[in-house]
Amino acid sequence: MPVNFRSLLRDSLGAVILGLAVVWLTTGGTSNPLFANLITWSPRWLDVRTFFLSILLEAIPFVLLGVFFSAFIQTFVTEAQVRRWTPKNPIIGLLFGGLLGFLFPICECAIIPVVRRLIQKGMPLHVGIVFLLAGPVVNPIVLASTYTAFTRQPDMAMYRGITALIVAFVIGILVLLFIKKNPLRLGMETEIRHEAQHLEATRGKLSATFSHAVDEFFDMGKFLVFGALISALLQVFVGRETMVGIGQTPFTSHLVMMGMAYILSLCSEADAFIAASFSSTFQSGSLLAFLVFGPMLDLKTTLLLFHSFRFGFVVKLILAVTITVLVVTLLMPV
Amino acid sequence: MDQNPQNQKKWKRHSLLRTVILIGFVVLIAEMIMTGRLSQYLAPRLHMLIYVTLGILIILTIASIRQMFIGQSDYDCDCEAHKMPRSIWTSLLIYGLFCLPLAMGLFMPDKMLGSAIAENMGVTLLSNDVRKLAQVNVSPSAEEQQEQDQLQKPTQEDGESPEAEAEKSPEQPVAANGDAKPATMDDSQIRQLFADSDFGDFYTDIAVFLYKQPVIKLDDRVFLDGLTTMELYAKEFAGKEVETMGFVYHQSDFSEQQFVVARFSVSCCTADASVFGILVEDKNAKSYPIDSWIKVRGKLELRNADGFDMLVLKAANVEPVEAPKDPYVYYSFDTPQGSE
Repeated sequence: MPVNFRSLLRDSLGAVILGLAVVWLTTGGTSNPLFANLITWSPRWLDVRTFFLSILLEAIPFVLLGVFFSAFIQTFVTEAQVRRWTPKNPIIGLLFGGLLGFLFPICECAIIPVVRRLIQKGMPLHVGIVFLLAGPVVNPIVLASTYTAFTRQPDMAMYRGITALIVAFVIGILVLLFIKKNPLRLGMETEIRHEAQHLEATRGKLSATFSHAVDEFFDMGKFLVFGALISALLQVFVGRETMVGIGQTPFTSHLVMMGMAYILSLCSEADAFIAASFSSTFQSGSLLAFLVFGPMLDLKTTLLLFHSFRFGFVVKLILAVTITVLVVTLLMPV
Repeated sequence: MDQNPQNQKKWKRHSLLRTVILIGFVVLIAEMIMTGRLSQYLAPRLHMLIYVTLGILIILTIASIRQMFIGQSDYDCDCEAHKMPRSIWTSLLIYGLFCLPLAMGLFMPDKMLGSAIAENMGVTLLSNDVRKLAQVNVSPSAEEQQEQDQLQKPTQEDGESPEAEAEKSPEQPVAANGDAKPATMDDSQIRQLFADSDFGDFYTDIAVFLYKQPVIKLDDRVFLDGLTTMELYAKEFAGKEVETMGFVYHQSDFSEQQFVVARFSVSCCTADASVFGILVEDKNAKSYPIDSWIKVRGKLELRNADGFDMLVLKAANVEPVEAPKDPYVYYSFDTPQGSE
């Protein structure tokens, strides 16, 4: 009985949605969507809708990009190649990870599946983490947009890159010294063996890639949707001005800007423009904290991280990154 | 590999739901592209990415339909890598989460961002912050004044910020009588006027481009760069006539004769929107409804607020207009062929 009920519920839900889509399609896509005018929505919720859809529409292409890039690495790059490219010396490995962003200029949504895949393929953990943290900042696209946004402080782009590298190196060294256990959600060895089986069993690599992409889209997507929703709610009901009002000493203003970067979950390509709009209210140091912290950690990427890495590791990573960014940006002579 | 018929059935149901959701996303995005509503959510430079995404989503839908009919193939073994949600409640929650943006996108009306959000974000005026308006106001009440002072503390503290210095330095060599120079100057003379600054060719070019016009038209393309330029060369632009368009923004501490004609600037998506505007002085300021779109023509006047120079638009003519299809403005960074 319960089984029947469940399947009934699921099937009817699907049927209802499918039906609605058909109704919508047959009524023709006019500029007023179906039912839009039957209910009066509160303007605040309509604003939430605007932010929510906007963040999703912006992030989905980049998440898909990351998913396909990771599928591409999975299918065409062998473990031996990854091992060969990655420097043996841990210190040179750190540098390599920090500058990999110039080779692969991808933003923070796309980088998580890629790094996870690279680590599975045998990239040393600390190199992967350095790439994860520095990659979304230290790449030509992001630095160029920062330079454009801060017309009046052209060094801001340079400070941003340098600070991000320092923070990433510190975290990379900490990982090298203290993390011995594999932090990926799935045991690395099983995963690799499992993937190898897949490859052998697969008739067409292409169809395998797409099947995989569907799974990844739903795996990553749920976190993305949730993060975007929270961020949209906070933007409408709390607002930047309230957050600005919280702290004004150097220490608290750094914390406030980092908190803001975390909640707003901006793409690292765009956040410099927001930071620039705060330049009359905050000192350069706090803006720098905003610019460095946001791409490394924010609401939506935290959820993606929890999906890819073990719980304990993500908590430690968040703590370490927060403290390091705070200390480094406070000491940075901007 | 798992040939258990019960699991196969479960798998097919999941695939059905996923297919439906993917179709939903395809429909939503296709509809947004066809009706042009996309520009309310994304900056034009990201539109190409959305077209590609639509293509990829269609392919994913096909892949998902294939999964639905074939069931678990050799590849899609029931191993740990991508396990389906286990209990009915978690699957309801997860698929419900995906349905949320679809339902919102298809069944709720669009609304342009307006004053409520602008107030949340803070409005950037010509060379000034909207919170410093107390100094421009004729006579704010004592209570208001106190409130203003509290708000201003932060901004006063970094009065020595590089930005403030940068604003002042270029204006010193120019005679500060605030009147417009006669429009008979040729390009090189105008260029000379702006050449002493170190803001680079980009802003000098825009300054010359704007200054040449008898009535400066701040349209969608030059709105942001134009405002930045006027902010940099506040003294030179004082006295010039300007025509622009935007939505009406009021704030409780504005005087009876003030409102702001504002635009949202977007660089990727609305989450990174910020608000830019010009403070307008007009006798009937209160009669223009908040968030309604207007066209304003008037003369720029230089005011001094809190030690900063600030340009205010003394309105000569205000008329209501239709909201544009793409309500946002962009830096020329986004559209390289922008300002010319």
